[in-house]
Amino acid sequence: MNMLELRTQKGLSRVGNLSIPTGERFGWVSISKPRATAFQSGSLVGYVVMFTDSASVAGDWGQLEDEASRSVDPEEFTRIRRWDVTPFLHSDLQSDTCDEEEGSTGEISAFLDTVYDLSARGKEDYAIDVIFEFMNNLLVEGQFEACDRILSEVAIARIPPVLMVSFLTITAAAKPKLKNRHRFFSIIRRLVARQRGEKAAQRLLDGLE
Amino acid sequence: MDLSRIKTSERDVPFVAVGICDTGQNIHTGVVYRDHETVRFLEQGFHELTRNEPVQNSIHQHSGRFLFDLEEDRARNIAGMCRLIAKWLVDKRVSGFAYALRFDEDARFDPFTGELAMANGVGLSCSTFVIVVFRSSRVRFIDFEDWPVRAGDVIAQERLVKLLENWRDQGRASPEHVEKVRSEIGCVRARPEEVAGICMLDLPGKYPAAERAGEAILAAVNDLG
Repeated sequence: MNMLELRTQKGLSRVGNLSIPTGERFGWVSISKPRATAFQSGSLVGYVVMFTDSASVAGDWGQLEDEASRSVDPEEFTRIRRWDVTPFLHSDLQSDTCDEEEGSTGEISAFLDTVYDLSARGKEDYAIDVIFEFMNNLLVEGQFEACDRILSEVAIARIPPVLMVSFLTITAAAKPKLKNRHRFFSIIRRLVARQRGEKAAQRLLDGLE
Repeated sequence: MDLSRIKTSERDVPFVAVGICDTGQNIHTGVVYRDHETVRFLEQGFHELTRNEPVQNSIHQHSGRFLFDLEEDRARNIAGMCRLIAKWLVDKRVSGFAYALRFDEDARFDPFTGELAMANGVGLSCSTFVIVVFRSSRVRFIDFEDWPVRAGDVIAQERLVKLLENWRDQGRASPEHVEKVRSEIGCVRARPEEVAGICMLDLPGKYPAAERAGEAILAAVNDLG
């Protein structure tokens, strides 16, 4: 897998010509924890995942030449296809390309951080899309160990039940190949039963064991 | 049976619903789901014709109703599954899934392959498409045990095969596929209105409750004109 990592050498207040929406407004993103990662995964051309104090971006990359300088509605971010990472290649950025194995620790960490970030900002439906697409790509590629690692590493306390259901839904067909899934399910079942009661837990998780 | 679950505006669909409409030629069903700011109608139109249009561009051309009742957290994930299926269709640049009459109990959108897996079937009808979307989300939507083949089912199946023959004559379906579907006439059939009617019942929907619910749905669609 080709992974492009972009890191700032010094403080950065603007990223190329791309207007990145912040939590409240359009404008240049102020990146205090600069990090942008693009990678190719499965049938997707790739994601751009940025982690900043105020914005998290998950989209595909590849083209968008004409639209690279336009402002983008925050709600569009997971719908944009073939994102051109060129705008991120600002003079303040140092880029290096490296090969990283699919389902690598860095990729999984970036994926989970994106899920936590979207969840913390109340964008659970976008987080569902990220979970489904990322896990689906791993399954299509036969990366069962990576899937299993995610199920053991996901911080359940940082995600709401709706996203717990997402992990269980997309991994259900691979149950025999994922040794951590049963434990993951048991933890979630206990947690939801404690929060919502036994009957609600049974209704919520029916068919997902 | 809870008739309060019938809605007529997409604004009343928080995450996912089963849509039902009278196209003027037949009763049709599909999944109404929220694609973030847009509410879409994901449907098996006919042979290799799976559509994913905004509701206002599709179901409202006909008399439409939406029905839903699911645990919210499950409903949101079914909507996510719809978005994933729609994305597969776009990514793979396919116009849709093959049409068939018989339901494959093992059919689902397979996360291993990113394809529609049908171990024992050759395609989907509008009704079985809805069932497969729910099944792919691990929701026990329907139970076909004790579900009879009714005289009206065979008549409807013969009419659908006739329509498929027209498509064959237009080069839109292969002769081999038409013959496979023809051999399915007489199989168990969940009617579109019954699939929608199941949303008013406790899941999984069973016969004869689904049939009674389907009759109530037809009456509701007729009332809408």
